[in-house]
Amino acid sequence: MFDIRIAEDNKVILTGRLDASQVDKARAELDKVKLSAVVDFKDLEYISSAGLGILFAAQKRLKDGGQGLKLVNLNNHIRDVFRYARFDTIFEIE
Amino acid sequence: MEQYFNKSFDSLEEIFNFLDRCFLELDVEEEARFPVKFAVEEIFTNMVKYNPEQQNAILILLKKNGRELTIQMVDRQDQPFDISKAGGVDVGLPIDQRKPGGLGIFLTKKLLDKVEYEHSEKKSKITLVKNLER
Repeated sequence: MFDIRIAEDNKVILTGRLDASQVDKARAELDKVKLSAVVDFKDLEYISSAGLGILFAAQKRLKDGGQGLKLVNLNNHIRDVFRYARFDTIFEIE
Repeated sequence: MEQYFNKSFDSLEEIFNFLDRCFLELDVEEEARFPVKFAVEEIFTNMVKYNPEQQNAILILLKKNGRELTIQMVDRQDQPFDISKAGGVDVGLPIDQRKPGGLGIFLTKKLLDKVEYEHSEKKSKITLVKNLER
């Protein structure tokens, strides 16, 4: 199960497993983000390379407009994947 | 433990459920589960995307031998494509020069201890190995 929602404070909340079958759903919500935002990974247990690609595309689009995503509460496995991909140089990660 | 899966992204839920059953049955430690799921999904989705003309089911097999977990994935494929030689991406490039393509295989190689490819009798067999702590 995967869910993505944008809270009232513009925080993007991810839940469950972001695998290749869920990227259309993730992309549709992330496309709504037009300004800098925090993405909360607290309840995201898994992300695939397809999920990384969606976040990367959103960050690239936002950076082009002087905005950006800040990622918080990544679990250790997801943090490792971001580090290996050197996405820690592309995103602000807390 | 082994199971066949339809060549579709819709099979991913079933694959994750199968892997969870394998982890319990084979007593695979928690730390190894995420990397194995990541690698299996990556290889499977590559088979779906890049070999769609063959509508056969894909075999996934897991076995544990001591501190070594081996995963084999078999797909019918006329022409070989050695996935173990793919994944050459420059992760050091700045964001405006980077492309996400190829990252999945690159990360699969980082997360696992061995990625091997064989092609014979019109079948591609990918063998993944994850070394375990216990």
